[in-house]
Amino acid sequence: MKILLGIWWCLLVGQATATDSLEVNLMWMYRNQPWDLQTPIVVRDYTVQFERILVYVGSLQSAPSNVDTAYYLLGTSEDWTKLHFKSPLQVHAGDRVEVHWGVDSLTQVSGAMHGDLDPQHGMYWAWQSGYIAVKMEGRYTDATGKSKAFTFHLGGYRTPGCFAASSYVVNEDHTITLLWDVDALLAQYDFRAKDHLMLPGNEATQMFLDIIPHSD
Amino acid sequence: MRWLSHIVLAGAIGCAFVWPEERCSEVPAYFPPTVFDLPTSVVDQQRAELGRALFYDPILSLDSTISCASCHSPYHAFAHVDHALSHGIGDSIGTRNAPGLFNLAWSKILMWDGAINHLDMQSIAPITHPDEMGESMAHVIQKLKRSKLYQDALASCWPGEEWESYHVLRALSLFQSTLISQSARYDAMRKGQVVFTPMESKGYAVFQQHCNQCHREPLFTTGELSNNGLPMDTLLRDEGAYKVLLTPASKGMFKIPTLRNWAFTKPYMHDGRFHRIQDVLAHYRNGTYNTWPSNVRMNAPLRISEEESVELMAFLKTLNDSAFVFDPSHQFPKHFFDHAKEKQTKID
Repeated sequence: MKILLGIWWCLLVGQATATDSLEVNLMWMYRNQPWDLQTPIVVRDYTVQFERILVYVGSLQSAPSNVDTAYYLLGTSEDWTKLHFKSPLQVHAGDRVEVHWGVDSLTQVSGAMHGDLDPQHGMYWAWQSGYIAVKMEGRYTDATGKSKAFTFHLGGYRTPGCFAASSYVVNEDHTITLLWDVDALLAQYDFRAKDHLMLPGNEATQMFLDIIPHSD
Repeated sequence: MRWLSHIVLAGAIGCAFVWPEERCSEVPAYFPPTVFDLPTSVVDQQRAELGRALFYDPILSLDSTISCASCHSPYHAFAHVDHALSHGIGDSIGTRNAPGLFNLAWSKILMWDGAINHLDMQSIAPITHPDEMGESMAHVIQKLKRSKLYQDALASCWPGEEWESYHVLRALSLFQSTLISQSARYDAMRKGQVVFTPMESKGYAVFQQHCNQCHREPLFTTGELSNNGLPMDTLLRDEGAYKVLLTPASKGMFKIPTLRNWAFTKPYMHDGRFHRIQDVLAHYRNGTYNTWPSNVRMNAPLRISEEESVELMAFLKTLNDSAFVFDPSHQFPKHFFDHAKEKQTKID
């Protein structure tokens, strides 16, 4: 009996401390509620329709020796939809994982890259030589019915400001969910005053830092 | 024994016509270490050849009219001779002079304003600029995927992979890194193969005293940004590196160009405003400065006599590398495209 209890206890402990690959999910939010990109948002007296939101996430780390150095392009556009990915990072439930939004300064200057960092995804500042951290584009319609485009290419490629870190606790099912609330952009920035920012620099970096999700 | 002397004589005459063949891609010992790794492996050299094909192929432009070679001609040290500003698709005019593409493996920054930090990524700029090739990388990839010629080429260079921007950019950068100019008369002097004439030697001394700080040998550029006091063109309003660095001190700063192959790459300066090398010298000797206060390196005219000016020109002429300019291994890869035609003919 004691032996059986011992075996059961070992199995229980073993299960609780089991590691598995981390699955990362991105969820769009608006004012703390799940939100679909297709749904227009009324802000002040104009209506915003997002058409594409893309963001780089990567350099996941749960411990100094446990790092996934890859970068993943998350978001939605006409020809790209990726709202979750499986990282090779081995984690336990309850671990805290640090996530970088944007691409680190070393990767920025390391030349041509494959996969999600391939410049064909349109996330590279061609005449500035660095990766856009967040791209948000769409149209807004003002009170007079006039429709205009908005274009925000945010972040930087020089330190500081090329990436920002948040951290998340790993769930029982070895997932973390990155909640991105677009209200962070819409509440702070009035598109009628400024509806485009496409050059890297202090302004793009500050706006990027203003809108990225915080740790949970 | 007479037959032996005939043989020796014939051999001596033969040797006089046999020059030691020096591949342009070999790097002299007096060159500094490269910033970009040169293609040494067989597979990288193959990829460089693919890059050579892409360099000459207008498939990279939106309307298939402009290739890299349209503005970077091999016969002009990969610059655009006689064009102050290059033009792109639809005859649009750019805002800058196309610089010569050689010795790029030593460049830490690229473009006149230093905007590009890696040779791999340089090609994105002209490919996607609306006034140059007007394309998108995504569309370039689609076109390459539709081409059997390039599908086959990719399979040779990157077996098992699908076309991505990475392959285009990498192939182009590997090709460009092979463009090494190191066989000018100056280089022959450095290698101990020739001796400068007295006038060239004097000009070399003038150069070392007055020009070497920015146009440092053996690359004849430090590769850094600098302001040489050129007044800003009021039409183009080009503020140079300020666009990238956004600091007051960077206004009017441009990447110091190499002086190598100057005879093949006129006109001169970032906007091609000087059509003759004598005009460049005149700017440094007589020009006005101080367009951007406090950051002008050339804050006083070049004080050299007329005689020294002539001697300097004699030295500058030793920097022109005909062997590089006429090297067939850099020119249009006829074999690459002919091979495809042959295959097509056989199929037909």
